[in-house]
Amino acid sequence: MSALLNVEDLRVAFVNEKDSYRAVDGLSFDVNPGEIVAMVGESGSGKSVTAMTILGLTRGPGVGISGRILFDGLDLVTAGEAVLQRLRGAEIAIVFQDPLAALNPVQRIGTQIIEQIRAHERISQKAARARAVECLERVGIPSAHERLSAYPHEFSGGMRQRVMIAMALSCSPRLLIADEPTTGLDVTVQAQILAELDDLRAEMGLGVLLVTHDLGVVADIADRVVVMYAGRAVERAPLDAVFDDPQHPYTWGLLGSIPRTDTPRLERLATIPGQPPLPSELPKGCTFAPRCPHRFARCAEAPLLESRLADADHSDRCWLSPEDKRVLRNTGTGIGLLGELAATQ
Amino acid sequence: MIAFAFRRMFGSALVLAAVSVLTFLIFEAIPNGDPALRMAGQNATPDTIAAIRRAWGFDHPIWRQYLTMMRKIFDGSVISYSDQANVVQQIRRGLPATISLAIGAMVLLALISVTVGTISAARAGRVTDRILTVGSLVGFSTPPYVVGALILYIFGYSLHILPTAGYVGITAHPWAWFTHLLLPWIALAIPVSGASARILRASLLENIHEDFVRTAKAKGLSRTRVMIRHVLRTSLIPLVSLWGLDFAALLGGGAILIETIFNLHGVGQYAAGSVQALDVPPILVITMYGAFAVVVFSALVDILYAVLDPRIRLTTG
Amino acid sequence: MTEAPLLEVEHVVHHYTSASRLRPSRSRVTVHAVDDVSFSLARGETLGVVGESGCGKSTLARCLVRLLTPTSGTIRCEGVDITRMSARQLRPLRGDIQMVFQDPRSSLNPRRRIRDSVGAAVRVAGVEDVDARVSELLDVVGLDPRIGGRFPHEVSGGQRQRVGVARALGADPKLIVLDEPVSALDVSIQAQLINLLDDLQDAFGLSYIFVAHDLAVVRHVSRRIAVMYLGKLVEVAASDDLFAAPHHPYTSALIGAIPVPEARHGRSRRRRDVLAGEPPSPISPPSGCRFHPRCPRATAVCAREEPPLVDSGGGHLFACHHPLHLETAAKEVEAGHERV
Repeated sequence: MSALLNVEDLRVAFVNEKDSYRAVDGLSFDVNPGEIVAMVGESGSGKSVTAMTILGLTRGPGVGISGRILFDGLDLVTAGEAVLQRLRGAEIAIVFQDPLAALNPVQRIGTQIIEQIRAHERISQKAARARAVECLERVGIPSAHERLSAYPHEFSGGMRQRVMIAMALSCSPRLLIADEPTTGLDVTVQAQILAELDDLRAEMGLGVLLVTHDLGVVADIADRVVVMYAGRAVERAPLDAVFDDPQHPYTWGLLGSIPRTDTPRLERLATIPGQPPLPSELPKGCTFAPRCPHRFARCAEAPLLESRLADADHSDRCWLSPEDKRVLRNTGTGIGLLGELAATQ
Repeated sequence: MIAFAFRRMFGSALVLAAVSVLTFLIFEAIPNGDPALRMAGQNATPDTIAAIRRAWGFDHPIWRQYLTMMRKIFDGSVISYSDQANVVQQIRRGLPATISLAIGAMVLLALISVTVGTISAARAGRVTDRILTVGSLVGFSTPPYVVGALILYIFGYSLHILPTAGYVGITAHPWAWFTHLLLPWIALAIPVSGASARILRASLLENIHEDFVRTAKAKGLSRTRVMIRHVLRTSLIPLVSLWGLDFAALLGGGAILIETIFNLHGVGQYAAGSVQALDVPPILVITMYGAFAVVVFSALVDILYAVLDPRIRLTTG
Repeated sequence: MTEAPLLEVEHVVHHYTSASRLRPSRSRVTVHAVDDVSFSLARGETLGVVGESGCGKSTLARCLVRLLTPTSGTIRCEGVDITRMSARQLRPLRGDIQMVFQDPRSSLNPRRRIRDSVGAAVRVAGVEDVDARVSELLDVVGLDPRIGGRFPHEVSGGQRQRVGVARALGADPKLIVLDEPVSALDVSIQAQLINLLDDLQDAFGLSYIFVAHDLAVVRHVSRRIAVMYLGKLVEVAASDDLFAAPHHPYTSALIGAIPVPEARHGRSRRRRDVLAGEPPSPISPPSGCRFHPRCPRATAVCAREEPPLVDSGGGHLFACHHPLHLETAAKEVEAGHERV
């Protein structure tokens, strides 16, 4: 099956007089039709920049983009603005975080949805309106017909996000990028929206690139996971593999630092010491090494993203052998970053 | 909504009453303002002056004079002290010129500020922007009458391209109406557009980075459409209130100097003449009329703002 | 526990009315933010308060630190009734109850250097050598004291939040109310801050009221958890009891909605029971049990009568006509006794 989206060695750097800030530093992954790929990482990992770069929204003076982003055989990095405009909203759609800010506050939502539809298809105002109603109904907004003339601030948070999703899907795109779609929403509403996203994906055969910082959200709907750190993928694997057999110390750190509700309460959370590096001062060699308690001599050489296990789909960027990894990640209470934590329990 | 309207109307009536009282008292307090003396002329005898006083009621207590004046204003019979002409009629005669001046100036103002502001924002930081910024500031700092006098001299007296004075009604002669008003329009529009262009520029630059603009681009809309329908439309909203009040001021006869320089015989020029002659009735009526225009327009602007920005309609809390 | 509780909250209510400017006839709406909340907090204890938007937990937090005045009810700190004290009367007591806010960006004055913000709190405690104490506090929260010379926007979110904690500590409090202190932070920084709060509690004998929407975090830090819905307490229990056997359907739904970072639980769990509807607005709460419109177990009585808060034994309180995980529940409710 050929991939819907193929990102190869993507690099995005923001350059000004003083320094160069490498937001994305050699990222590769793909998304197949009908699957959900989650890009997980914390702030500064480059995940949002990647999402925007796919649509060409980061282009501008002072931005250096290299690598390839293949969509349907077309390289989006070098494609012209006119081509990208045709794709945006029609073939590749994006849903942003914080729909209150992401929707035009002084325009009715019906107008905004219809505007997108008519930008890509030659249909009458009336037909576009009918389609907008359909889109709203599909995401579960009641009284869709009346709600078309409502303004964004007249909806609750969850409904607003549904409006954004409805708008994004209005032209039946093949790829949906969702940038932190449930962050800031109540937990029960988040569960609803994730369930609906999953259903829509199945219904429409969408490929979804989900950008998030929440591993719980990932576990809920993702098929494959890309763990990002300092602009690179440090681990790439199918969902079960990432949670059952994580190979990168950063992933262990993430998993260990989340308080769990399904396991007995811990005295302390395992933390990752220090902070992520500034994109203008990326360390040489392995970018995670300064914070990694398991670093050793070889880490001075930047590890490649490779599969060191039998499973070719599971790659990671860590020189440690799979056997060492299995031992080191076990903190006694589960997976975490600090091996010595077991002794302090 | 009704309660709101009533409250505004009541408030406006209070404002107008206060304006009228204040204006009246100011002219009572001015030295050499005794109307009887002015009416009687140079060589008047004390008897003549006393007679005038009695006839006009200047010997009555001040509050009574005020009330009499108000009554005459509202039944349209108030006449000026200097030429005994009916004030309300005089104002009506001057209205077409003032209204034409106001509308044209606003249209020109809108065109200039939107063009300059948008180009400035689009080329922010570059040479064009800097030139336009300096231009805006120069325009903004130059009083209308200086601009007016300057262009009148250049285009009217020197180059003879445009007429130098007077107002021609639009129904009589449309082209002449236009040529006679062109210079006054420019004189009024340039200074105010300087400020508006700067405000628009700042508003645009702020809105360009807003999330919803990013969404608009992500929807696949063309750059032009994004700029106009999303960025510009939102950025214009704060200007609406500014322009509404500017328009009210012009309508209320506020372009006193321009009307005089160009001899348009509008309400403003009438006001200027009356002030020079310390002729209280016209001054009072024009002031109240001007205040009324401002009050009405400020309410309209509030409503318009709520129409344009639906978030304003929200209740608090 | 024979020791007197540090904080006693009894039947606290906070309503506020908001009127429209443009349309006064559309009138005054009353927001029932907090509607009869009672609990007590022992010294050195951490009580977690969870709920979704509109449940009133933030309003409750602000009432506790007297940023707001409750409409009715009492709040007693160490036996002293602080509910209606004026600002002047509160001043000497301000240091006792401090607050850490959610947004590290907006809760520190952007025009003041960090040492000045923390210093202001230290002065409240009446300390002489302010600078030394500020350095000490920054160190205690794991920051380099030299950070004192910087402005809030020059440091990271996690560091700003630590400064917020340092400031709260500066006033030498007995109780710190934390309103969503970690929600705006990255997961790994969250963990650091949670561990820090834990250490500080041990070192200084602090009590915490930890308000958050993230039930997993709350479970980790709190020994007891209070669940709020639309201004009311629906369940209060020890953390382990709450998770092992939640009585209230809302608690159960909240627990069920938490995305668990484990692959197995993903899709299959989701298909089960996603709670429908949205958290309603506190302006016109539903009749009877406020949760009944969304509750899968609701019956006629739920729409009519508001269930009282009763004890199922061992301090596990709940307010529900049809509770879960409880055989004796029906009898308790019929007896109608409130053994709180």
